[in-house]
Amino acid sequence: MLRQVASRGLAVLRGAAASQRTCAARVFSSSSSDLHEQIRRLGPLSREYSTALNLHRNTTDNNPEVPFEFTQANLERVKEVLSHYPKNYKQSGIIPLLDLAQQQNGGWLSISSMNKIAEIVGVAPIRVYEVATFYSMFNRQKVGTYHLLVCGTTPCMLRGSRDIEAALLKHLGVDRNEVTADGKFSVGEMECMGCCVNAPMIVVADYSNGVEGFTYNYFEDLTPERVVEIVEAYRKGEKPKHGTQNPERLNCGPAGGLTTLLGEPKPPPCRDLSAC
Amino acid sequence: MMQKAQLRCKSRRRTRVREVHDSGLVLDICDLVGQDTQLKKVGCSGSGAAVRAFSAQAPPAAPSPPAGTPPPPPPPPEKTQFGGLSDEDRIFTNVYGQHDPFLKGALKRGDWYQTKELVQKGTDWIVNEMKKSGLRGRGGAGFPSGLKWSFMPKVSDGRPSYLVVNADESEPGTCKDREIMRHDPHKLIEGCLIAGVGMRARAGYIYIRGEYVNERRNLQRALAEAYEAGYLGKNACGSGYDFDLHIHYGAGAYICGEETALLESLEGKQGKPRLKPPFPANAGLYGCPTTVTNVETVAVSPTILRRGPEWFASFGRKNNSGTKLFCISGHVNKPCTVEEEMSISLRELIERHCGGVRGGWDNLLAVIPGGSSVPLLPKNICDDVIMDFDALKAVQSGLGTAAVIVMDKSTDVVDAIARLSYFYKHESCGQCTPCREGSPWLWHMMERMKVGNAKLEEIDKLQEVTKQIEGHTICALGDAAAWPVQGLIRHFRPELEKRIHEYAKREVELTRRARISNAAIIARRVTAPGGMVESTAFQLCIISTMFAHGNDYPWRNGRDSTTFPLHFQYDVCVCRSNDSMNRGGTTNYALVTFLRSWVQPNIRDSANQIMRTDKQDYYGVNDSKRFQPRIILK
Repeated sequence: MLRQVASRGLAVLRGAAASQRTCAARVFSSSSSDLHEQIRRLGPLSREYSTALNLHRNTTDNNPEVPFEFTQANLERVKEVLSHYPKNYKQSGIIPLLDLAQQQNGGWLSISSMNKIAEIVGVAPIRVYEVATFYSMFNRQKVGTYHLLVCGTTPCMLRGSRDIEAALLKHLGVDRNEVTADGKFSVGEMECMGCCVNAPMIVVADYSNGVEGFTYNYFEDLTPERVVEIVEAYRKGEKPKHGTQNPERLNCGPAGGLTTLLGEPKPPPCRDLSAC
Repeated sequence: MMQKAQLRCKSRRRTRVREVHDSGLVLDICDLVGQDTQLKKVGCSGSGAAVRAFSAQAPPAAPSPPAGTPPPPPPPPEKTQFGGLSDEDRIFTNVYGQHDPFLKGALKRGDWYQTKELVQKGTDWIVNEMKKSGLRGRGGAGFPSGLKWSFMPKVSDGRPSYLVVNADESEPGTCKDREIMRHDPHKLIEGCLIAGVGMRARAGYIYIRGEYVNERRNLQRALAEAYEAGYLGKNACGSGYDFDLHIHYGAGAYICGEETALLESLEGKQGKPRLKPPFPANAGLYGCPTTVTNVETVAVSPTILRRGPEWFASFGRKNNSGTKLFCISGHVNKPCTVEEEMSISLRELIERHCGGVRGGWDNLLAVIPGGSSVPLLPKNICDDVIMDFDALKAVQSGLGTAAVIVMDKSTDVVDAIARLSYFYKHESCGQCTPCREGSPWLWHMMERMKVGNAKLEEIDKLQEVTKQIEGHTICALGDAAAWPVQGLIRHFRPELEKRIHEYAKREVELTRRARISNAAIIARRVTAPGGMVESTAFQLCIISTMFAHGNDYPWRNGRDSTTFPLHFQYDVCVCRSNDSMNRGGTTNYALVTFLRSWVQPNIRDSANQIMRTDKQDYYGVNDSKRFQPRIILK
């Protein structure tokens, strides 16, 4: 009971911090420095109605003093990325570069990696922070080596994505957005990933092999049993076959045989272009 | 503070645009003649409709008929039978990936055939042929493509023109562009060249969503092949036209499917839609004239030009011509993506290609016919509706992206729509207040509607909230959040009412059973919507949650009852408490303070006028020492 009440009290502190509501702080804490101390001890927090916290708190492994450098091979990739944009619009490269940094960094973005990117594209760091906090694929906290994302939007929900997520969480013994004790797996929820005719689905972001070996594979037409098998295969270091898990289906085609495109495709007839 | 920041942002953009002018970027095209002003005007009004990259029902200019009056009947079809497209008439011949997606296979399927001749026919020819074909944009809004392409400046003022392909396919239910990009990437790339010529663009960007990593890799490989074969780059296909194509990708934001948000994202910023005008055709990517089009629109264009616009126009009803990729998901026996003729009937589409609705057609409950943003249709409308822009608009829905989400009778339809409300809450970019604040309201209310924890009047309140969001935002995400809920209320109001009545019945039963001697009045069920809370620790929890959520609600603005969160106004009611209420003095004190300051003006009968509070006791007038309100059953 006491513990429950205490945790609720802390919830208030979180809320106060998130919303800068000093009145709540006044009720529950005598001075603001106490409040900040409490929050620091709590570590990274998230507001209940938001999927990620939009602020950064220094921790031992994530602060501006921790160095971040792109590897030599990745510096080549940086150059390649920037070559696609006009010279005075290097800022366009922020999203691909953040993605690259995230892959190199094992699935998450440290504050120094963002600073580095700001330096490369020549903008103020805040411009990069803005982007990194806006897009849901950027993780600013550590995730598992295999980051499992369950699609939970209506088309998947109708076909049982809640069972898929429950099975995953139960099997791994974690909560959503929590990393397993061995650091291998974490489970999150994503909004529609554009694979609705193969619902339900999960995606496995594999950060085990750096940038070269990075994969982001869709596993489609899942059942709660199959999803556990996939996790176990990854645990053993295997690479399970991605795409549809229904043996009767060919990608997005109907199960049990196609209804269209049955023969060898022929080039469409072309009219006489010189006559028109 | 925020307003200031936004203003600064806007002025920044203006300066940036000017910078582009001054530095006079790039410029192999340019006869430096000013833009035709008339053209500009046309460009504005036209692309205004075209820009609604979300599955839009109707362009904002065309008001939808008021809910009360019956919609006008669709025009009588000239051809009466649609559907049953033959394989020879399918444009995407590798949707299922059974053949080689890359250059060799693509050449076999007829891609890159006589592309040089097509390019050499020139811009006007291409635009005219596209107009003749009657192709309407496949990204949701259904704006005529040829017309849209023609909005691009005919003579450059020194700025280059850009083609941007919207491959940020994230409308729930939609997965057609994915199949094009991973299984037929050359169709898209060739289409980019053709569309680029049609718009006088020298460079194009394909903006693909971040989650499509494998699709992007396929596309990148195909792009490299095309460059190597000389189809792109300097002197593309030997036609004398220079065209470069780049691939850019996002990182998981639905809003980037809106065209100006996409441009912002492509410029390396948060995907927050821009105010229009200026429209992208005047000042888009990097401040240069830009047209954003959907993947499917671009990918079908070479085939249309080769086979002739008449061929394409021969499918479907007038003004809705062509073939279309349909994605059928949800409760059908065999969900799939399939290319079919426009104007095919919904029932035929489902029964011919998807093995029918799970449990038979009579087991159908409702269908969302065009991606999550369009209102759903109940079975009686689904029975004979046909799948095209005008027919679906006539039944107050829309074709959108032709993503058909089927729900059978086992579906909790309120839950399904509530999940969509959560989606829009999650994906709102936070720029416009009605959407940022309104979409969480919708979600909260929908979560309560799901269990029936509401008053009957709140259904109208919900409708009102959607109306306050719709049309009051910069982009169409606000509308998209509002429409599914409006559709639910329009067609499933009895279901909502039933739940409210059932919930009230249960409440009465529970209250009768409860001990009511030491009851207190507290706001209930604010944490997990729908959760039943009877814990004694809950009193503190309520207060803490309210503070914790201060940021989510407008009540931070003041103590005025009108700014109090909606569901508090209605949800203040009785907690069946027991002796433990008397133990925590602090808790009670906090509770009393809270209730006095916040709830007092709003105290009403509880959800369904079952319970009444004794006001005097409640105010503590009769018993100043202890907070012990009485509950009196009616």
